[in-house]
Amino acid sequence: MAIEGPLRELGIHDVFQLLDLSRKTGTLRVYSPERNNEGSVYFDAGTIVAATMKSNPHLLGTILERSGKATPADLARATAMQRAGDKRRVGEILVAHGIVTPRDIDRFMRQQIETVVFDLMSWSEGFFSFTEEPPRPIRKDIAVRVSTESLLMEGARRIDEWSRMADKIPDARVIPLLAPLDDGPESFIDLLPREWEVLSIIDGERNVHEIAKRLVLPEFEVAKIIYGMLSTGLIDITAWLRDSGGKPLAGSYIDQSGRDISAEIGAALSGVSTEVTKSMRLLGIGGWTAVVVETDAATIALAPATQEAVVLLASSLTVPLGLVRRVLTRSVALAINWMRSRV
Amino acid sequence: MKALNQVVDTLSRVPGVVVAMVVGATDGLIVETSAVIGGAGGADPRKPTAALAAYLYSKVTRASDAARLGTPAFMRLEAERGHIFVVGARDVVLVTIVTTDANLGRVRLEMMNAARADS
Repeated sequence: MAIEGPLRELGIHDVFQLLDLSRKTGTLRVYSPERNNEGSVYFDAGTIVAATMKSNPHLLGTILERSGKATPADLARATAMQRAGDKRRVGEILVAHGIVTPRDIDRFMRQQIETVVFDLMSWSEGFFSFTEEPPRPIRKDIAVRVSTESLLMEGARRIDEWSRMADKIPDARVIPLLAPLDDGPESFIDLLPREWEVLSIIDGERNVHEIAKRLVLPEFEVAKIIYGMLSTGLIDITAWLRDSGGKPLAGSYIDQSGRDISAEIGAALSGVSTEVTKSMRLLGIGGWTAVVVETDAATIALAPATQEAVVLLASSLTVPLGLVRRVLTRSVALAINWMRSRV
Repeated sequence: MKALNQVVDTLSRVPGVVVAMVVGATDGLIVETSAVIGGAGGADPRKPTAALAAYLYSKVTRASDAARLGTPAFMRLEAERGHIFVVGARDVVLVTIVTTDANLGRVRLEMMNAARADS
């Protein structure tokens, strides 16, 4: 019998609990039109044995390669065997050839399951459906079984941690930007390798979700690293999106005291887009593409993303104006795509 | 203080500047203006530009206050076929309409110098 419905009526946490308590075997599919994303979780007698996410597949091969456990050549050989008719999964083939151990597979598959399940647990909108199916055949020594109950407990802890980070990182659409160097005495940055990885690809264009996808890391882990860097002033959050009335659509602007003041700035600039568009018609110099303002302390830039939305961006005065303009253009393109994905 | 007509005259000589004006920061009324370069035949852009510049300047000043980012020193409105530059100078703003092929850095510098001389 299929169990299905909207998440707003039965929360994802309750769905997991129900499948755990009733010892179900089959596939849970969770789909969010708003996120344009879909996740699948495979259960065997109430225990989670596998999980995948459409937008961020975290393929086992990629994870093994990234961790240095397997080389691209190893993976190419394994996938070539699959193409030639080998029915085993990549992990099974790599274990059979002694490239990785069952323990490695266990660790990385657990990581893969946790990433998907914790991501799904942050969804409050969308639909779920559970279909009972026979368990998927897999070699016993590399079969992973993750207790649903323990995942739920860890998920609740993470949600709690996310809410603590929400003042600086309200969601994964936040775009971090490297903070300018100050003129103070030289200081040393002591970062862990993973923190360096995140820092090295912050470019003022990718958001938290895109950084996580690029590094094949859970969004939560990336958000935690970025939160730490924000707290130490290593990076800034600067881009956000408002509708023409100044109401927030996405992003935030955190001031030095840690307060999100994007709503206040948005309200102060409400109506600008409509008024400028009207004036441009009178002046006959074409549509407006940007307004860039240099103040005593920062550069503020805004540009129309759609008829209803304006991208706002703030940066330190030490960021060159040309770079501000480039980031603004890129942010507009990202905002347009994001708006389209939500229609 | 440098005479306002001298300010607009100096600015209007910078290559790419179509018109230079001194405008009331709160009311958007023109206080002093240059002639429109190459504007024969078309609609006079000065009044709508002056009104828009003052409106935008007051809006960004409010936004800048809300963010505690200080006073706007220079504002640039970019459009497909021209730019409008605005620099605040006490209770007036200097406004120029500039062609897209102008040396924007030079126009900006001249306007900042003019604003400093005026204050």
